[in-house]
Amino acid sequence: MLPIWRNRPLVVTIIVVIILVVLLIVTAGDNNMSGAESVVGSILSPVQNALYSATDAIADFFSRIFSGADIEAENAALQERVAELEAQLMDYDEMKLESERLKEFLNFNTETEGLEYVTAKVIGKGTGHWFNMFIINVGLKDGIAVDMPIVNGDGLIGRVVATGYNYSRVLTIVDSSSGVSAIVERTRDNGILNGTVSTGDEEDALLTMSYLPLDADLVPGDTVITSGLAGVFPKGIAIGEVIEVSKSDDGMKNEAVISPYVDFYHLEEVMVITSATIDIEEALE
Amino acid sequence: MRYLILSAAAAISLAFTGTFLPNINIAGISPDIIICVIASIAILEKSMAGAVIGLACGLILDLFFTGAIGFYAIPYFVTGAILFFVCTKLNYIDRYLLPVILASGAYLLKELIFALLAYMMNISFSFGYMLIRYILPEMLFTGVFMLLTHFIFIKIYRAGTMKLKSAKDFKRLL
Repeated sequence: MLPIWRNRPLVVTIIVVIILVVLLIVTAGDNNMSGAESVVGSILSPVQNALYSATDAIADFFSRIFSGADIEAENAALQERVAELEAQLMDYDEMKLESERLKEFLNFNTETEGLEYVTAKVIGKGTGHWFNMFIINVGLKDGIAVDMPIVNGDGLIGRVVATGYNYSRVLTIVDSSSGVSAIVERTRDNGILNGTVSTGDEEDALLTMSYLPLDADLVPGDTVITSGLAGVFPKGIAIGEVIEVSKSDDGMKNEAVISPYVDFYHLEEVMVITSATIDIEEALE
Repeated sequence: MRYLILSAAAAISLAFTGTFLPNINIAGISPDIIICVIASIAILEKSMAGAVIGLACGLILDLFFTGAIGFYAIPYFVTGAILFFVCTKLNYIDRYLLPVILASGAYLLKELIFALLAYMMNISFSFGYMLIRYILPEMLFTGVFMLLTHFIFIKIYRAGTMKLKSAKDFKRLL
């Protein structure tokens, strides 16, 4: 048997793992993008954009097949014509859906006057179940900065945590490391919303609202909005609704489970609010 | 040519992982193509190439989706390296059972490393829930998907464009 140091693959593996662990310790919790990261990301993001658009169309196609189209019933002589029309219809549907989404954005814009925003397209989503982040196709060149809020017509999505030249990384509010200062619209009770790991589908995308006052009188169905207290998210953006309220046995802890309004698993276009971040130093002066 | 094909395999699996799979998952469950590629290369080549591909894919995933360099790279690289050590010791080889078992086992190992890293990073999660809801179903899904991946890789290697280190084992597959 070879001594460990003479087993070259094992030595290489150990050295690489040590380097990676050091890198992980150094970079964990640091959302600033390094120069190298930014350059590599900027080069790769247009490729990612193109691939995402292409695969999104393929996924749409498959979802249509699996949604129960009765292909057998089609007349063989009409198949070619049907395929042609379906292709046109898909384009039409896509345009219609996009138009509806943009109308929602327009509604959002009129409801939150005074905010400036940049519309962005989702070009990649994280794999696995440990993080809930995605990337968008706007970055430094579009005036995007870290901590800018991300919303759509349904409500709050998250915030920008890193920016490259032409792309940005977004941390969603359902990610386990996310925290949002929120307020219950009816009772005006303040609390902190946290995401959870294991948000693989719609049913799992829930938030926990903690640090609620002990006398908070929440009921299922109450609307939760941003409080504007932490200085990142402007006040009044819809987040979700209360679906469960729980109190600890000793009555010293009050928590609520919130179902977000946003469908985090079918995000295509989002808006980056570029005018909402508060300059803390300016505010203090 | 070998480097070109290995780079293409890494790029394709990465593209599928970051773009296509999030859109076609079944109830949040999708196969891990990167693990399938790593396992297939480890079985056919008995080299560290799979681990290197895992490292490269992991680093790019880290760059785009976590910001913490190593969170994806460590599990993929370590899994690739362990697959290499296992495959070099194996005398048994077949086209179906071994790839499925190795890919499923590799996926489970990768997720266990993820869980360990998540625990070390103070990410709160229920391991039991994660195991039953996601890890085990995806392990099975990855095992099944491995059949297709391995079939494609055997075709690529059969085309003679890849230099093999253990031609004897490979002949038994043909």
